[in-house]
Amino acid sequence: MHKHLALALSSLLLLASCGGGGHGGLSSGGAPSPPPIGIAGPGPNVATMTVEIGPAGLTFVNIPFVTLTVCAPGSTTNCQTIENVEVDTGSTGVRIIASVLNASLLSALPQQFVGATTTPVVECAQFADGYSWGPVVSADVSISSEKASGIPIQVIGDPSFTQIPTDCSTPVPNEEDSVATFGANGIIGVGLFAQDCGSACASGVVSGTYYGCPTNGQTCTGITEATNLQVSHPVTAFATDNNGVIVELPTVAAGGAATATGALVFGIGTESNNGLGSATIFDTDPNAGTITVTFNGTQYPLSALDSGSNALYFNDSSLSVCASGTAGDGFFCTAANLSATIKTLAGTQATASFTIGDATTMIENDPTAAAFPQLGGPIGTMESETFDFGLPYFYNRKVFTAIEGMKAGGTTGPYVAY
Amino acid sequence: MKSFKRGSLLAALGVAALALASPALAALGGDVSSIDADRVSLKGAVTAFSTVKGYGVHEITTASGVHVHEYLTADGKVFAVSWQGPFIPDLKQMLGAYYARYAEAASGPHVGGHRHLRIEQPGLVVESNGRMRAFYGRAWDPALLPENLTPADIR
Repeated sequence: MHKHLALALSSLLLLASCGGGGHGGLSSGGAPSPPPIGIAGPGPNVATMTVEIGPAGLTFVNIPFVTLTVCAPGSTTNCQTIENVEVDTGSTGVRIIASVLNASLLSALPQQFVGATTTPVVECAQFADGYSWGPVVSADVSISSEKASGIPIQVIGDPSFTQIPTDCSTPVPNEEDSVATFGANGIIGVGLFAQDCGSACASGVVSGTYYGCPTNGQTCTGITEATNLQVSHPVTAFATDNNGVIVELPTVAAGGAATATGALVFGIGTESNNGLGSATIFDTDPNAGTITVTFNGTQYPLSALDSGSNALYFNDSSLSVCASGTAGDGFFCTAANLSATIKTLAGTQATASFTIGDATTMIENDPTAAAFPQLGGPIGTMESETFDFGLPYFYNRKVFTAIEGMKAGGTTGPYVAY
Repeated sequence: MKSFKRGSLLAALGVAALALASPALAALGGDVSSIDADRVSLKGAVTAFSTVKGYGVHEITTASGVHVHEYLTADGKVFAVSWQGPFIPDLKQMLGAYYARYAEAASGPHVGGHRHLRIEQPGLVVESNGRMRAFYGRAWDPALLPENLTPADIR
């Protein structure tokens, strides 16, 4: 969207018709602001997490980043510190863009092979807006003082594997194999599931997932992939603090801020700094990881609390969408204080209040900002199945994501809570 | 939509007879007479037939648990498709002749990050949403959409 900033002058003329029009939305006059949460201080299970403009530039906002250290398995010297790795509670597994890795480390990450053959295992990671293609390798991944040794990760866009199977690229034909197209140097998927695919890929060949790709140039073939070989949740491989994560972000000014620094905390109820406290646990589908949101009288059964979604995405016909060519193109341009409910594990409905700002005004007032707590947008043009509480909802909250099968704070995952 | 699962298939009315004659589905814009291709390509089975406001809806469930719905006009043409499940199905098959336009538009800049993609062109709308283990989406040709339906009927 920032690509449209060159059109700022003409956009200014449109602001009057964009609704709201105040500077930075509805910070005053709405619900009283809750007290700031206390972000976890430094600790062995705490990684600094920052929402900032990442390596792909202004096109991507509201993305939280951490720094990882990736080493060849067992090595303490063949390592690389990788900044600007996206924190994603909506996917599972560590994926690094190949061009970010130095040659000596890339060549030292052991390739996974199909069974006892010498055929490399290559993965197609599907996202709703595209796919990422690259080999499955083994690596030691460290963050804060936690370490996942010898876990399967994906190297995205490895030039050794350029033949992309048709059934990988055709579901959503948008290749995201570079820093510029992916939006980060890599991603650390710390979601609800222990593996990215799970039992479906272990019990049968699922198109668009795992492949064996012969090095002689023959066509890649879909394979079954045992769960212990799949690209997996790094946190489950930690020695401690391995049952989930907390995403903690500070309050951000209504109109946006250049950066927002918080913490990615490992473990739930395992240390003095990661207790569940009085957080509400939401009813989370054990297979899909979805929660159920009710908004404006409509139930959205495929909803999510997702740090990998960069805005509050939902449908509300009373909110106008910023016009094409304006800075907020495609996002909401009407400022509003709104409220939904989320079904809790206890069966009650928890109120979830949020504020939407005028995206064009917010972006034009602070064109280099990366953190926008009131950024919202529609999903399609009419009713959808989902209410997507993306990253804006995480500001001034501690959002818990507990991994499937793991007991976390007395309740077994998968669940989300805050 | 009203749903007639396998057991009560015979209870469905006239449109159902058409479905029974050709128990599979076609690509968007395609004809019901060529409908086996999607089922075969998706490695799925036809698991249900239902109607929405009188229009037939076939459901294919793939082996990996994705539910695909294909919506038929009264004269047996597919005017919409939708999907929901842990994976994104093969849209090349499901979109048929519309696929090339979708493919060209899909790589452009878009709002929605890795979670939402919406393509709207004259004669084609595609929406892809969700995340690992929970994808859903739909596609339709507004020109083929029956007058008494809205896109909200495509679920």
